[in-house]
Amino acid sequence: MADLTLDLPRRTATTDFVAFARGRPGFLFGLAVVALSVLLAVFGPLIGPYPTETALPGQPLQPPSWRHPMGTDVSNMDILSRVIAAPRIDLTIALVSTAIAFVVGVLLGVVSGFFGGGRGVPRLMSEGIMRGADIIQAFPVFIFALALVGFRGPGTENVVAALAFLNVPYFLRITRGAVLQVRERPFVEAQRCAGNSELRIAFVHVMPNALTPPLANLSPTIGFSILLTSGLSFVGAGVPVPTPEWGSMIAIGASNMMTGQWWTALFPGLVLGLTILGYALVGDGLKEYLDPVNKR
Amino acid sequence: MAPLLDIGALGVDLATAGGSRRIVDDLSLRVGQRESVGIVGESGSGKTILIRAVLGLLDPPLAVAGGSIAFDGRELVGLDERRFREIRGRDIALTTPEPRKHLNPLLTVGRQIANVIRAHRDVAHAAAAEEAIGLLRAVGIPDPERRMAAYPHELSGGMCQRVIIAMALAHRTRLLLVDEPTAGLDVTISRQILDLMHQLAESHGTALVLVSRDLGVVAHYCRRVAVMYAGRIVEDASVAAFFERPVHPYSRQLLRAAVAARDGAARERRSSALLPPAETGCAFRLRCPVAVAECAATAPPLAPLAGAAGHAARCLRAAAIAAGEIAA
Amino acid sequence: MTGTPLLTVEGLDKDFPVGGGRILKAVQGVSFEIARGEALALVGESGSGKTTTGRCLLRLIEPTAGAIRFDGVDLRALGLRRFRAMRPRMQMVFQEPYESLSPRMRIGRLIEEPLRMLPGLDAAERRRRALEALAMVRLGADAYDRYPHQFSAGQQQRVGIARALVTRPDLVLLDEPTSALDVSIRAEILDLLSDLQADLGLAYLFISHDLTAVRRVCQRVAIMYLGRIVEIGETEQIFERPLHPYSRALLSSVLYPDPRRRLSRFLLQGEIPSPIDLPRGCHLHARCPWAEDRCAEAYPPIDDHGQGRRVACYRAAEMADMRET
Repeated sequence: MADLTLDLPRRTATTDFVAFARGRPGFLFGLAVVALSVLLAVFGPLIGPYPTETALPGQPLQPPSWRHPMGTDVSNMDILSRVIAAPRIDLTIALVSTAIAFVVGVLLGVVSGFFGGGRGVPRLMSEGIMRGADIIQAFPVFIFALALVGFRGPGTENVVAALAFLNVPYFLRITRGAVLQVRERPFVEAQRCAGNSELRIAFVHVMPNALTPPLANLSPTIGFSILLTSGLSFVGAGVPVPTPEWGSMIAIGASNMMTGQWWTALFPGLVLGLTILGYALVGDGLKEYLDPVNKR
Repeated sequence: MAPLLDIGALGVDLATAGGSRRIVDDLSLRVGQRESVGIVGESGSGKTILIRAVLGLLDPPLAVAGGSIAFDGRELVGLDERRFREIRGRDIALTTPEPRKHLNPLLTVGRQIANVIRAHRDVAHAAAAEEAIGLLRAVGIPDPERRMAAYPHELSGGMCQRVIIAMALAHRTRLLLVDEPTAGLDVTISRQILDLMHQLAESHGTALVLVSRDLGVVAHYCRRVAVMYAGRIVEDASVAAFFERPVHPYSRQLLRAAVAARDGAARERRSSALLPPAETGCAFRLRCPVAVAECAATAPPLAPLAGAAGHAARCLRAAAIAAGEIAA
Repeated sequence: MTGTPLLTVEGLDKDFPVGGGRILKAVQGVSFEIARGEALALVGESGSGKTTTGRCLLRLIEPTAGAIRFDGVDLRALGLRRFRAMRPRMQMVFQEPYESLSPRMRIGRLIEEPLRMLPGLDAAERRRRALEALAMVRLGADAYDRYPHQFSAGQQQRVGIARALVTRPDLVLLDEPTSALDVSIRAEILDLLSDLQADLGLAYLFISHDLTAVRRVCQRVAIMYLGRIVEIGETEQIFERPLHPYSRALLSSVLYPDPRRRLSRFLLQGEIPSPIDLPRGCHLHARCPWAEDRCAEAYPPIDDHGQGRRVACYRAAEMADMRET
């Protein structure tokens, strides 16, 4: 009878994902890094062996030892405890700012992509959005972030606001590109025939089919935002000391490196580098995983 | 006379994450010198894979898994790539559907034809260009001297198909594989192209293997027909015998559907065309109106029909159907 | 039913600017009518303007000139919002079954989408109507919760048809509904379409490049070449006695799956010209074996040849007696 459907092999999203991740060591490493960073963001400040914002009694700048595996810094704070605690602030800033940028960027991207090339007000809106993005992206990212934070003063909220602002055009462009392709597909026309309004077509039918590229870019953006946060803190425009934060730790440690206390800046720098690498690898993997061509 | 192309028990496997799957199985087909054979089947029946196997163009995850392909007495399975390249384009050529996509958009068509000529013969550029003009004229392109400098996007689909044919016939091609010759072409153009191919093949003494879903094309431009279903040939017959009295139940359904689509007559109730091929036994048995219990147990071989030379079918009940004892 | 036709198209033009100040005249002076419950085919090759005509009717693109009246209402005079309220009465089935279904929506929701334009339907009623539409196209209720990619091409096209029928439209535009399907499935879909037309009293505008595909579904055929209707009339009459050389060439090009049937030698020469620089006079004259001097001078008027047959050819009256050359 006609109620037959093709008998597709039984697959679930989970088995698919496991099969995909297996045999991609880079992707697995990235996933481990992301998982670990999230765990540390939640529990980091609780599991370090020493307090993270108070000086310990005794000599500062102790080299790595069994008591202090990463040594202590110029204020005699335990570097390991601080490195472990830092994701709470670094990751929170990166996650919140990326989330804001994602939502705003995708919405604007859908509007500018779907209504681009049209006529009247929607077209003006689309054009306006794109020119705005051009302006933001015309400046070097770090300088622009610095200026924004400088304008409002250092502080966690201001760093979040600056990063979100900077990342909006990025998500906007990726989404717009995807929307420009999706809107030409026949099902969009079919929805028009169904009597849907343009706005509803844009957000209910086109947007869900254009989310793959921006989603795949979430992870690298988070990594990049961590780097930018650290950069701002490094020049003193980010998270105020003594909050444990990789960038400011590197900044504090940098002067000690000259005098031979290499551990003060090396360990936070190493961890920062690995984290960003991990997020980038997850992004690469997801891009491949979400690509429909790979899904047979 | 020995056949030009002799495919014996060919198998092609598709490697998947969960092991390999046979997608062309026990495929035997002979094409004589100057013969024209039509291969018919629906999408997914393995027609195009067969063609690519003959040309040695299967890429992983597809691979030949057993059987032989002999061209003019020479085994092609396992032939190394360098040797294959000598044969491809010179002795065996291919024309593809959607011709424009198969031409390089950045080179003039004259240059592309000349390249094909120079790939197999050591001739000077000027001589190759001269020959290319002749080929363009032979495939009925008006004003060939001027068209030499045209890029593919400047030509219509029909013109591009003519260019492809010119390239296929740049050498004394012995076997021309034609994949969906009318796909993407307008109806008034299709006939021109088919006539041209037919006529050139005759005058060059080229054998044709014509792959198409359109039984009408096969009926008028081929001498023999092989019907493919689920990676196997289910019926092999002369065109006259096949259209007069097809034997395999699948062939019968296909022909009825084609006639109905053309004539607007003879409607029948079928809701089985959506069923996938069976994994065991005869692949067609789920859709077959005359299947019996035995069809689930054994996969029938492609067996010659008694009393009909050159007519073979892969069906346990072929004899009964041919004798008119059961209606399929 | 008699009285006013369901759809009247008069003098439809659609131009596309193609840069360099040149204009592509995709549709020129196209006029036809569709009665209630009647199926009209619009047949032509690439560049004939058949698809553009269909898209103009549904206002997916705006025509350059001409009048479109649907059930007495001038569609072009309606604002877009009021036109949207008319959409449930004129639906469309698309060429590529899978591509025309939102990939991330379940079948049930997909089919219910057009119902959102109808006032006063609650969720339960919408579901009931969707299931009813699925039954009409002979799909089981279990399809309701599945996704488009879980179906074969033939089934996907049935879903497309169900979506077009769920609002109980008066007119359905079929845009090459079978050309992406295999032969055996094609026949099934054509049967289904013709059953539905009879059962529901639907009017169709069936757009196709394949003259034979429309034969069993449509009562009348309009044949288009390079933006104009060259011949329009009852299907069987056109099949038996085409009066325009182009109609005749189209019919001759059909390859019947029967090797004993002699191939017609009546073929057109050369290529279809570009619709950007249309030849002067009859668009066909350069390819037509029966062209005369006047054919190159001016486009022939579309004349009435009785029984609703209209033909745009100077020599249409002689055509019936002409032999194949």
